[in-house]
Amino acid sequence: MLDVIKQPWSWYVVGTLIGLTVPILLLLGNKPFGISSSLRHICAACFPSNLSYFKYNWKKEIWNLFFVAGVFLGGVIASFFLKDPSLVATISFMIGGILVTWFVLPFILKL
Amino acid sequence: MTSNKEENDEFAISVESIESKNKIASNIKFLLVGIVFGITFVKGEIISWFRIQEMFRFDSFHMYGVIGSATLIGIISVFLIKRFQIKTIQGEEIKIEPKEFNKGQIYGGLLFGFGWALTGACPGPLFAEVGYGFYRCDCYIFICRFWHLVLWFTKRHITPLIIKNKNQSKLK
Repeated sequence: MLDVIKQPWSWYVVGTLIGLTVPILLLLGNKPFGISSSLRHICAACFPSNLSYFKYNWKKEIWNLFFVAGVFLGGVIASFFLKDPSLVATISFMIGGILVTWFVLPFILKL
Repeated sequence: MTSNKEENDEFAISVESIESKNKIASNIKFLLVGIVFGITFVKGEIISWFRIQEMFRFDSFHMYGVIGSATLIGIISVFLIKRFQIKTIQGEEIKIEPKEFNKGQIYGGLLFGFGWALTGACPGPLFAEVGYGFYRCDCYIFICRFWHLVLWFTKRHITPLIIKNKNQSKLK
């Protein structure tokens, strides 16, 4: 079973899973599917820079940041358990992790 | 009277803390969905810039298959939700806000496409890439930070100069 998971998945499996997240997010909490807007929320939270585009209550959209953090963790899990990590990969996702916590920590503290 | 007010304040604080706790608890499910989503990105090789180059060169059906089937399933499921008026697990009615078209979206879309082709990544897989340990991604963040610094510097130090010069020329 794990061998099947470890191989790259075919497009219809991936497409189905991505397609299914749309109704799952709608059913779980009436949330429209979208990731790009998380970058906007991060900007609004960290450096609003007095731009009207970033002046809104980003805390209402906090679910999106949780979702994005989940995507990041999914990447970590996939790299740890579903492949054998090389030294370069291990070091670089450590750096990536530090960077992301640097960006994500402010939200957690502001909660 | 004062004691009453204090009680009210305490009550307000407790309500706030409960709300924030509920916020975390109610958002954990999105984290879980995100984890599954991230693993899907990695295993579907969508995080690979090679796959995206391949798509833009019309060399492979993989990405078209992924995007096409995802869109199709999204359309069907939203149609079903609307048709049978399925409610959320909290019992709310599902509202899908209509998206308004404006001209900026064309330019935004073009910019997005340029970025997609140049970097071989779009915002979703970007986060999975950082998690997976693609060094390239960290470079993006550094580059973004750099540009942010440049923008900040120009806004802080150079824009006032320009405005000053303009005002002076007007006065003359």
